[in-house]
Amino acid sequence: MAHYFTQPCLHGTEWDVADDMTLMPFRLNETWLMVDAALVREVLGRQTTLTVPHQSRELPGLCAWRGRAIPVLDMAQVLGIDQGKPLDWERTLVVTAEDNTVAIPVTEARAVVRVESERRRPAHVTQHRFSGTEVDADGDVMAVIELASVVQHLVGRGGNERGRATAAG
Amino acid sequence: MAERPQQDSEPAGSGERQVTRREYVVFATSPCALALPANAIASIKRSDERAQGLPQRLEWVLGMRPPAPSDELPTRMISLAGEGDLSFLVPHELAILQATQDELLPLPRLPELEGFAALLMSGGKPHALVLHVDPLRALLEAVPSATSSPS
Repeated sequence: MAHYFTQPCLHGTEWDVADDMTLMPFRLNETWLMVDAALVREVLGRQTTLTVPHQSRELPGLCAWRGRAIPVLDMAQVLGIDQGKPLDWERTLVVTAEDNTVAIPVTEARAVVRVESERRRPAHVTQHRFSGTEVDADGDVMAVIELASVVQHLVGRGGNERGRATAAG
Repeated sequence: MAERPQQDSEPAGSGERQVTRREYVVFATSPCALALPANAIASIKRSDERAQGLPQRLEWVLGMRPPAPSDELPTRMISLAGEGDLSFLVPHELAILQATQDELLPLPRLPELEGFAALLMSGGKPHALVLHVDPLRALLEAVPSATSSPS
């Protein structure tokens, strides 16, 4: 991927422009997408998961993160992207939104970038669920995924992650 | 099976930390391994699913997806400790793991995970879902013994 953006973002610097966004580009096989970088807690390698009973295609399993189990979110299924082949899972985005933390398997994640407001526009070229805006990156258009809406839709239905007892029995 | 928590002393800086390990019996069920605290189990016996009057296999009791035809037939009958004769069938493969509290990870609040208490880790990796005992007892009390699979 070429350098589409003016410069990388550094949180807490003088780039405190109200309408600018810090976004993290990531790739699902051949499809580039973006999410609000403020929601990304950590980028890990491929994780070992446990398939759970009654699993859905969107939430197929669990993985461990910082002493707790978190759901694994299949973003391609969520967005309705038919990739025609299994995901080439190389990285894992750990994101927290709406008090819920999930792991998102991805093929590749790039450094956070600052995107000026004029580069964001209502989704037109890209047509994905949970995406109302897109970024024109010098001809390559990437959908900005509304991660909070995704997590709230899939995970928030069961309440937030706090409070489940660990006692077995 | 009697509860056998074990306490190990591990050096931790200037003092010592008491680490309690508890035993869990892990069943090689489908689609994922399930576990129960060893002290919740009264007995593990050989069984045969094709015989009459045997309890249901654990996956069906829990409403999990039916095991594939290639899945191993359950050949172990687990009886729960406590009142009543509550039993279920599990595959042949069993494992007994000792786990510390650090190896029992809390679960996210999801409807799919109701009835499960924790994620049991082994070797630093997710290994099995630990069942809550009381909800399992309630399910077993509600499910009659049968030899035929549910439709």
